[in-house]
Amino acid sequence: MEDKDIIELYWQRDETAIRETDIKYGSYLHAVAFNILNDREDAKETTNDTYLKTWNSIPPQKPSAFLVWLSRITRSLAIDRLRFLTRKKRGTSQYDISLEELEECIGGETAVKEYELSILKDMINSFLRCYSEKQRNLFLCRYFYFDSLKEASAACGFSEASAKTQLFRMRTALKEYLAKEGFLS
Amino acid sequence: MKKEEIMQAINEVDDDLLISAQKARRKHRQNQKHQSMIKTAVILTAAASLIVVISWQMHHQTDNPTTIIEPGRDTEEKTILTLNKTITDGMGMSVVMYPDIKKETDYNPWDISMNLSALPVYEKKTDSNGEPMDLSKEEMLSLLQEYADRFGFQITEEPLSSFTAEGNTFSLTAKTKEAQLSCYADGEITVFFNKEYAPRIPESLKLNVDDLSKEEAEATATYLSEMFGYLLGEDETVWDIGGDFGYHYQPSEDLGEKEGLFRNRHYILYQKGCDDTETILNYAFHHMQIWGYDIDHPNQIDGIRILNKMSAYQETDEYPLISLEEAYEQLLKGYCIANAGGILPDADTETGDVQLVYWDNQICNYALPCYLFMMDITDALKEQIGLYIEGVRQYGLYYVPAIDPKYYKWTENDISEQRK
Repeated sequence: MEDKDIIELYWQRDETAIRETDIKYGSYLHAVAFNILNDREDAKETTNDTYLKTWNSIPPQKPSAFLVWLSRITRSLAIDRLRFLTRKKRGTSQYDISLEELEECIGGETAVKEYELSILKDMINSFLRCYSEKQRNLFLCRYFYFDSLKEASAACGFSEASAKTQLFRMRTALKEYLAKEGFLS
Repeated sequence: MKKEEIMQAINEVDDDLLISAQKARRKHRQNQKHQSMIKTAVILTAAASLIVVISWQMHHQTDNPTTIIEPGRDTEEKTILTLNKTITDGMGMSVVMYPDIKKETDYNPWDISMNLSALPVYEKKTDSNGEPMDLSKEEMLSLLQEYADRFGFQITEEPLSSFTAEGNTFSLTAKTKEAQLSCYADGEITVFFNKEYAPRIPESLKLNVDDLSKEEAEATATYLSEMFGYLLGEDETVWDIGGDFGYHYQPSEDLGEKEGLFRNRHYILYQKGCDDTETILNYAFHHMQIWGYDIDHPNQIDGIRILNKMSAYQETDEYPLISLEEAYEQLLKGYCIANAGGILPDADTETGDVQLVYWDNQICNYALPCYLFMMDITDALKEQIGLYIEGVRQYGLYYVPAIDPKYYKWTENDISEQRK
């Protein structure tokens, strides 16, 4: 079923919308969640939570890129869920590894104000657009989708060694960029 | 800043950036499945008498990762393609017939509104001696076994080789209780069902009736998608129920043929990709055709053919595309691949339809995107060859490479020189 038809079902409050979403994107969303949570049951629950949030968001929303929209929700819910899990489960997922890598880009642990988060989002977009599509894809495979280095490098056409270097350089550049804009203490 | 906040900001990255990454990941996953299937099959087949059970979720896609062009890459690095024209005055013309093609539904997935800027070109795989390198006998054997498993058939005897020449196996055929399965060196699978086991669609639907309406054909295609879509993969299945007209000069009662015009409708199923490019490639290289020819059982499926053309090709690069208008100018100059009785269209020739397709044949080493112009040459055919059929217009098929002309050259026998 076309995305626009599935979204129409949500607008008509037809519950088959959830089934159709699951058929089309269930396994994909599960994989996104699993990359963060590293636990099938948690990933399954997160996927189901995604459907619930989608049901409660459409209408009034009408996403133009449905899978991207769903991926964002799943990723966000999975990260929230992970924060409440025991320490024991952490440190084994790609999310944790990616998080450690991105620590290089930030300064202290001072919370950012809400309006500054919006500016930060725009800055990340601007930062990424300075790079080639291939490099951007690598960054997002690693830090949005939390693919392993091996998977991310293969998907984007880099060797692992080259991908590692690329990501290191991008993190360094991001840190300099954020520091220049006053986001780092 | 907290590290979670930067993660949160990354969550809000623009849609188009995420779509691009999503596409790369998805292509990689499909390639992984294909590579895994071939590797597993070769290893297990070498042990002999082992039956390879491969999950039906595997896709038949290119076994080489897609090369994504880096913006700003020096275009001089691209391979200049050498293309052949085949324009002859002989028999077997590439012409289609319709009462009026403009009234037909175009089921080709390409649409001009897609605004594609580039598409991949594929080259036939060759070995170190430059000889075409199709699937090996072991790879064909494993494909046969995989599809037998997907259908739930059991191969009853050792697959026999057929059409072997100079030590190369061009096809393998295996027999099961239910059907005869053939695998060809380019990855094509053909299934001919034995009559008593031929699957049937509901009697309210029909497969092989000449005068099936478009609505009836759509209903049949929808049912076939649900029935067999899994053979292609797990993505959404879409269909093409086009096909032109034919003419029975010598009708056959046995085959239920009446004299005169008949509709040659086909049922082609393919998968919708994650984007327009993938959909176009699926349509071109990995689709399924289903047919029936038993006039006593118009709802009976007699055969299925599945194309896995990527088995024989490797991707060279993505090439920038020219516009439809630029392609039309190339056509008028005679720069096209065609076999329409030696007739080339001019500025007065009416354009019936244009599609974007992948063209490949035995002569050319490449599979490349082409604008397929279907030009009304009815009057020219009548005048120059004496060929005319009442009730239909005849449209010559002219393939104009859709890639920028600076990336290819024509071989000799270029009759466009005559036009200059």
